[in-house]
Parts: sequence; C-alpha cells; structure tokens
Amino acid sequence: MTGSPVELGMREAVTLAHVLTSSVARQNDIRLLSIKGPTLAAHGLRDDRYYADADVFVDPSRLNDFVALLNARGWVERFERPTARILADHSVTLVHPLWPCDIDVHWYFPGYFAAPQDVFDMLWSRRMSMPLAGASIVMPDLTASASIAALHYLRHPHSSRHQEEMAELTRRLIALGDQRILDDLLRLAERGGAPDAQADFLMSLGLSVPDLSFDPVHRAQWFAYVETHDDGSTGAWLLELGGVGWRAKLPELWRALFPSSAELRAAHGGVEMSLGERTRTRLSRIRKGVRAAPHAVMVLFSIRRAGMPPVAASRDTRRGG
Amino acid sequence: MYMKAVRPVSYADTWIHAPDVAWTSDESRVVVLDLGREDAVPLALEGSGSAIWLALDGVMDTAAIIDSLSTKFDVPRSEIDFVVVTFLRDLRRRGLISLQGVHGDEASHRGGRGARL
Repeated sequence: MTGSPVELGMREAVTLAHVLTSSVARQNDIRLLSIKGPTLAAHGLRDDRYYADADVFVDPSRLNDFVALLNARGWVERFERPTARILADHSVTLVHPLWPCDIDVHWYFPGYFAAPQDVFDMLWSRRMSMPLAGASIVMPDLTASASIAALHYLRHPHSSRHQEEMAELTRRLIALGDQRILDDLLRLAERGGAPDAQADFLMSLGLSVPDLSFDPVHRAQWFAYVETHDDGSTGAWLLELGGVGWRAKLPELWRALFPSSAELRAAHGGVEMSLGERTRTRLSRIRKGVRAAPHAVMVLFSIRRAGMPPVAASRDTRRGG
Repeated sequence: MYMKAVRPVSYADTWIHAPDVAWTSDESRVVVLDLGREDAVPLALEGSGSAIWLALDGVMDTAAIIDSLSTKFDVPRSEIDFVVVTFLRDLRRRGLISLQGVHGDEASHRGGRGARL
C-alpha cells in the first residue's frame, strides 16, 4: 500500500506541473502565471480536456532564475537550434525524464507587440488564484486568459483544430452576454499592442478597433509570421537572406541549409548520429525548405504588393532580462 | 528516500495533507507530489492507499478512518488496523501528511484511545 514512484498519466502530469511551477515561483518571489490548459477550462472558455504540456508565463526579468530553479529539480531545456525568426523566440521548453509533459516557460507571447515586461506586468495586474491539486496556482483573469488564448489560436490560422477552438472561444465570450468583458478585451489588446494580431477576433465580437490602434509594421510582421511559421523557418530564412549583403548571402544560406553536426547531435538528445543519419536529416531538411519556399515567397511578395512596410527577420532575443 | 522521525500514531490523531503537498486523483489512484523538496518524485497511492489519502479530511481521526475503510472494503477492522496505522506513519515520515492542529513536527504527544502503534 505504500506509495511508489509512478509513471504519470498526461493529465496528472500537466496538473502537477502547473502546481509545481507555481510553488517554485512563489517560494522564490518570482511572479508567474499559469496560462492556457486548465486555466481556460476554469474560466469556462473551453471544455476541460487533454493537455500536452503546461504553459506558464514568467516575469521576463526572472526567466533565468526560474529556469535554473527547475533545472535543480531535474528539468532540462530541450535543444532548439538558433535560427532566423520573423517574431522573436518566446518560450523555453523544459523536459524531465520522469514526466511525460513539457513545461513551456513563456517570457512573452507572440502577437502582443508591446514590450515583454509591460505585457507581463499588464497580465500580472489581472491575476487571480485558483485551487488546483490540493494547492493553488496563479492565473490571469477571464479577459486576459481569453486574450492569450485568442493569440494562441490565431498563430495557426490554417489549422482546423485552432479554427474550431477560436470559434468556440468567440461563442463562449458572446454567450457571457457581458459587454464590459468585451470592451475590456479591446482595452487589453490596445495596451498589449495586439490589435493587429487580434483584429478579426475583436471584430467578430462586435468590437470596432480604432484605426489609430493599428500599426502597419506589426500587421506585416504578424501576417508574415502566421502565414509561414507552421512550415518551419523557411520564411524567416528568406527574410534574413534578403536583408544581408551579397557577400553574406552564401554563408547564411549554408547555415540555413546545413545544420552543423553538433547542432544535429544536440537536437537528437546528445546522441551521436552516423554519417548516413546526418545526411538523411540534412536532405530531409532541404526537401522541407524547398517545399515551403514557394508559399513563403508568395507571402513575402504579397506583403510588398499590399504596400506594407518591409519585415525583417528577428534574431533570438531570449534571456534578455 | 527522505524519512523523518515521528512519534507513534494514535487512534485519536486527526490528519491533514501537508501544506506543501500537491495531489491529484482519479477513479483508480492518487498521485502525490511533495512541492517542498527539490528531489521529490511523484508517488502513486492505489487501492486502499488511495482511499486512506482521500479520507484525510482533518475531521476523521485514525479510528474513524479504520472504521470507514472496514465498511468500504467489507473487511474486519482488526484485519486493517495495523495496515492503516503503518501507512499513516509512513506518509508522515515522508512529510506528506500532518497532524491537524499541530504546527511543527512532534509539537505535542497527545493521548488517544487504544494502543499506540
């Protein structure tokens, strides 16, 4: 009958991971919000269902401290190859050999174009506590949770699952019948610099976004991002190549197409790959890039045709705090 | 394995889940995580272990928990008495449960009905 170490189910793991992260943050005076997953269900913004990871939003200025604390508990960063991006990297993914779920530690959320620290402070000012698993977590209030969820769904406009989730979120917000919540969503979008990303969502709620709230650079960045990032980094690499001088293009192209052996090894959990495996991986990467390139080029041309400002590739800016 | 010295369990003891412990349950088991320790791993409590954990409501004392389990599993009290007490002591040694109303470990050595085990 004595308890024994256990193989966690996904639901158990995600629930406990939210409580664990909240507890570690609280014990170390780090501000942290649980987002998405069970917090949306708690607000009635979606059904309680299967979750694959635990998402948290940490005070950007304490990101390194928080990750180090989880490192001390056996959670390690999943390797991610440094790459060109249209919008800067936004989270660290942590994995643990005994836990089936990841913990995604966000320090900013794509679609909020205000400064990451300002966005976090804004969301933190709307925090509330929720009992979970015999303990408690801190999460954004209903409006802020809806705003984050909308940005998450809007990042994948061509995914039928995310389209359905977006429709469900919109339906549930309207069903609340509370205009104050909808007006609050608009204010939050404006303060967080999200009107360009959320324009269609806000309009579907019957809200009219003032023209002054839009920013053509943000709109172009968001459009380029959502239209290309599901196909990998091809769009971002093309932007990066377009932004460097002729002499730098070839080395940059080489870097885009041929990850180093060290990068490949790190991406495969530190396991050495044979020459054949490395070659197959590189060829597969090139095939994927070639397949994605025509669409990415079309997107980048359409931005130019629409008279939007040029979009620049972003380098990883994480750990800035 | 972290274990602390604890005094014997009394039938009059009333138990609560320790404040730094998170737990989640479904029909088949309870999974417990000690949030206060860096090296803590989740523990599974199944069957009667799960039933005992869920009975720790800060109201029922040890004797009442034994009575409750005796009824729930339809077994004589005498057959589960020792098992329940041993299990509670083990949970307490692991720091997963505390005595209701007692702040700090072994703050008091309260009297109780029946034998100390």
